[in-house]
Amino acid sequence: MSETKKDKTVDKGTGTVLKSLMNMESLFEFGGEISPFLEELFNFLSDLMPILAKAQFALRDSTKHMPDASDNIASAETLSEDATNTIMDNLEGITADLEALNSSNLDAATQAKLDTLGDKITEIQMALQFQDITAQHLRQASQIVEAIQLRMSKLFEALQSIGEKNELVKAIVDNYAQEVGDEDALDQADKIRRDDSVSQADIDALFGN
Amino acid sequence: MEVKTILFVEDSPTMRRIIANSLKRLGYTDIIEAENGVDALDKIEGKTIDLLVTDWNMPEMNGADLVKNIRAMPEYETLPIVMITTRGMKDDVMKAMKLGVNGYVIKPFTPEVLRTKLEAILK
Repeated sequence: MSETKKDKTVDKGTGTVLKSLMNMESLFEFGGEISPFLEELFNFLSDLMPILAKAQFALRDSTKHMPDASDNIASAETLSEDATNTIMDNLEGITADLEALNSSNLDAATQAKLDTLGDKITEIQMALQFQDITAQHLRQASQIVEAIQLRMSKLFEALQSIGEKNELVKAIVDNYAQEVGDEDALDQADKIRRDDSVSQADIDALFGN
Repeated sequence: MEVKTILFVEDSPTMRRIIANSLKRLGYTDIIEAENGVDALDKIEGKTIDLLVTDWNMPEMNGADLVKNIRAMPEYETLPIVMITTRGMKDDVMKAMKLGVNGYVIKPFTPEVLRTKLEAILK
């Protein structure tokens, strides 16, 4: 579901909830003396419930995508490690060849060139330290994502428990969730997001080569 | 001080190759490689080491705990220890010093830095 469409749906849902609240308020008109208190309560709930329901919806949607983020970080780490190992394999192979050449009788100019090549290989090897360093940063980022996911899930559960403890609130949240949290629509949106990675074969077919 | 055997501990395979190659280029060829503190303690059983080069952040047993364990062994009370790590906060360096680390190298490092550090602590 696009953000604009989702926002419109959310606005529509909010309108429905407020209408429901107003309808419920009319039920309490019999108690004239407690009406001001009820009015305050309804005003409070009118303000609060759309916010809670919106937060609930946003949390559920956001929390769903966090495991993907963690997986992507882990995958990036594996890819960079594999690539770095390939480079290291080749550099070690070249170093062995250079050492074999060094053991033969060489003129001074050739020897100097081989030494320079050896130094450059060392420089490249040392530069590959970036792999471990970035991997550690990525791992830290992944841990942060997982910590946020955990806290958001707890917040989400807390918001749900508000609805479970109070029938009126539960009715409003359920009503709102029905309006905006259409599971089929959410599943479809999730499927679209998950299907956005394509294989090399798909790309080749797309480009016709 | 003559160094015959180095215990070198690093969990990253890439970094392990880079540092092991650096040590070999500096002339240290007898290197016991380990992936973490637990692996390191297993591998030195029944052997004698003359220098410990270790990372800090590692699974199972990190470098700080490994240093604690090594320092608790009477035969390694004065063993030269170099820590090579990405942890560059002052508190980390201070903690390493208190644990008995003799040299501290921040990643990424150059071969020259490693050479200088080793020469300094092995004097």
